[in-house]
Amino acid sequence: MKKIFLLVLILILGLLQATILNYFRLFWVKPDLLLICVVIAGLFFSPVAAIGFSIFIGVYKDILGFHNFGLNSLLFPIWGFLTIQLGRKISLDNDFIRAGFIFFLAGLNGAAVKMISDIPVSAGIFFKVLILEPFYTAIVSLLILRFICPAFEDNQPF
Amino acid sequence: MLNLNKRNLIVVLATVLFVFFLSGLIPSLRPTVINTLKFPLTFLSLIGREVRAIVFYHRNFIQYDRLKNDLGILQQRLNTFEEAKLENARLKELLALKKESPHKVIAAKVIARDPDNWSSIIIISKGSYHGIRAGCVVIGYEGLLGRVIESGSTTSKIMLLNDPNLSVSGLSQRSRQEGLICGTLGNSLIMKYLPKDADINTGDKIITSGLTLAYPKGLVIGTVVGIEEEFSGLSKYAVIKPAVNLSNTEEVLIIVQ
Repeated sequence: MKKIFLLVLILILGLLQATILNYFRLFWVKPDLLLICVVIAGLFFSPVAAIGFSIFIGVYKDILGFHNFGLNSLLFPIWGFLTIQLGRKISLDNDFIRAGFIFFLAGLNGAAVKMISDIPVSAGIFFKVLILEPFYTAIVSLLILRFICPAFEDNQPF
Repeated sequence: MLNLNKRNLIVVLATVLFVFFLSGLIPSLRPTVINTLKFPLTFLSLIGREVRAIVFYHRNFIQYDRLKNDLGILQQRLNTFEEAKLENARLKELLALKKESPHKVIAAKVIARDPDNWSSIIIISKGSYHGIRAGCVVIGYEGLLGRVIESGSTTSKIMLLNDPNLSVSGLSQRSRQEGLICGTLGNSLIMKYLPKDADINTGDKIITSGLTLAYPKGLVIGTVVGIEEEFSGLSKYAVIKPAVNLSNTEEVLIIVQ
């Protein structure tokens, strides 16, 4: 049941990120809701399920986006794995700590996408996206974690 | 950390190979899946538009009044140009010049944007079934918008002018100074490779140069709002405000012929 709920959440957040979230951009930057889903999968599901969800989320984001190859399909499983490993080492029970981790992960993801796809932007634009996107994603993640995560928290992961 | 015995190693290796295989399949899967997601994307973008219309009601009302006045003025100018056009056609016929064929355009609605912050791409509600193919030029009512990069049967993806991966050869309508227009992922464009003594001023209108077959000549790109020197000091660049509002485009025109 939790898996189906997360699957539906991923589909809805992906569609929102492609449509309505464009009206809430700050300086042309919007939060990465799908990355938040990767962290949720890593925190509340078994490693196999979390990696599976991360691959699915990466494929979904690549299909809605444009890169010549599946860039997010390669990166998101790595972030899912990182979430799983970090969740074992330190306590990620607090929403603010989770938001801080999402901030770090969003920055890492942005830098990785820029470096791998070699998008020709100036330093100013690079830093604008690299700083604003993680910040905005972390703020939005607080809302999502506060209202949606309790649905995943109580029982043992599958 | 992972217990790296033989079995786990095989599982990890198989997963990595599967992910690489999947990432290679993405470009071929994309048009089919986007076509499937067309209805929910259209529905959500419709909701967004309606909410925006309600929230910005007062601003839209004032804009409507202003546009109504502008329309009257433009209608009068159009009548004058119609006369000039007819006279031009008669004179050309007299000189036995070849008649220019107008572009065939298809209108389409924007249903989604890409979820990434590193590119500027929109998804529209028409595709190859309507005659749209990759490489078609896309315009708005005010000027050039971008280019079709992917075309499914009922949806297409368009790369906008402000995407850094798209470059357009343009020139100043006044001085005919040429340069390369590139995107900045924001509300402005950059016209690069201008020599230090380039004849370009604030307020100049920039149009497509037609130097390549990619874009027809004469499409309006935008207006120069600033001129800066490059860091090296050897050349300068112009900051251009696009003619089309790239952040709120809701309808596009695709030149199919």
